Amino acid sequence: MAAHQADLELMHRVVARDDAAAADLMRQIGRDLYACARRLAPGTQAAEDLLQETMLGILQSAKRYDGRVSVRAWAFSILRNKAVDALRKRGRERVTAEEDPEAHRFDDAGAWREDADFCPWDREAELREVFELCLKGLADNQREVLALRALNQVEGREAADLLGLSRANFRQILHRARQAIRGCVDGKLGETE
Amino acid sequence: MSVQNRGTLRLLLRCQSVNEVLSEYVDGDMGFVSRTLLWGHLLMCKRCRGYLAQFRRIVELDGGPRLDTLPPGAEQALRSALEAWRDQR
Repeated sequence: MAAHQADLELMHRVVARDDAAAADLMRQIGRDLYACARRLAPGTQAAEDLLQETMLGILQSAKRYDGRVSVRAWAFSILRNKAVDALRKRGRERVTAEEDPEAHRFDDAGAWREDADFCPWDREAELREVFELCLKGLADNQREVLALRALNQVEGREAADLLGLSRANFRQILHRARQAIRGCVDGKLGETE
Repeated sequence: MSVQNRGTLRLLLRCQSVNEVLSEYVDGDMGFVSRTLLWGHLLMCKRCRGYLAQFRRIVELDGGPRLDTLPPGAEQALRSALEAWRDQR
């Protein structure tokens, strides 16, 4: 029996052109796919186009689903491939996991430099907006990792597999992305004080 | 104490090494010994505590807000996909 039997049965119904099954599938994954598409695409219209193209791709290739991973993870792999195609057209930006955005803040002994100061952020109302702005400034591979990590339904190993990364590399890119956003948010909140 | 733990202890005395393992810590993927050493460092280091507080906030923001409902444009995108699929019969 496949690991995800219920998902497999649902997809068999889709293959049999069952409208209700297709609608069920959309209800199950549509919202999370869109949340992920918004992270991966440059704007709202592009996210909606990506969602439409992905959902059509999922319905058309339902017969290829074999139940070895959850239908959710499988759907995200299709979303990711479509997003990468789009990114490739406009030039995909990557950063390597080795580039530590905080390295300049430490001295040779690995201690914080004197000017390092991390005050609590007290402007909650602006924080979400600044966070979203900083998110857009990340490299594409960092946004991909964050987008998949934010979706609790996709397990860590599956998320790393979807991106063709080892678990260790996935974790490292995730960490670098978080560091980069923290630095960006702190800088932007500091600018307007 | 094992050689590995002595190595971990030495590393966690450096702020830069602490900084490298914060995702592991915040995501709950850190072992007991490393976690205890990290707590010890944080007790002594105000800058690392300040950094961790900001870092945690970023991780929280990244997890939400969840979408409760799909915006109309996204609903339309799904409907269009369904219609295109039906038309292919």
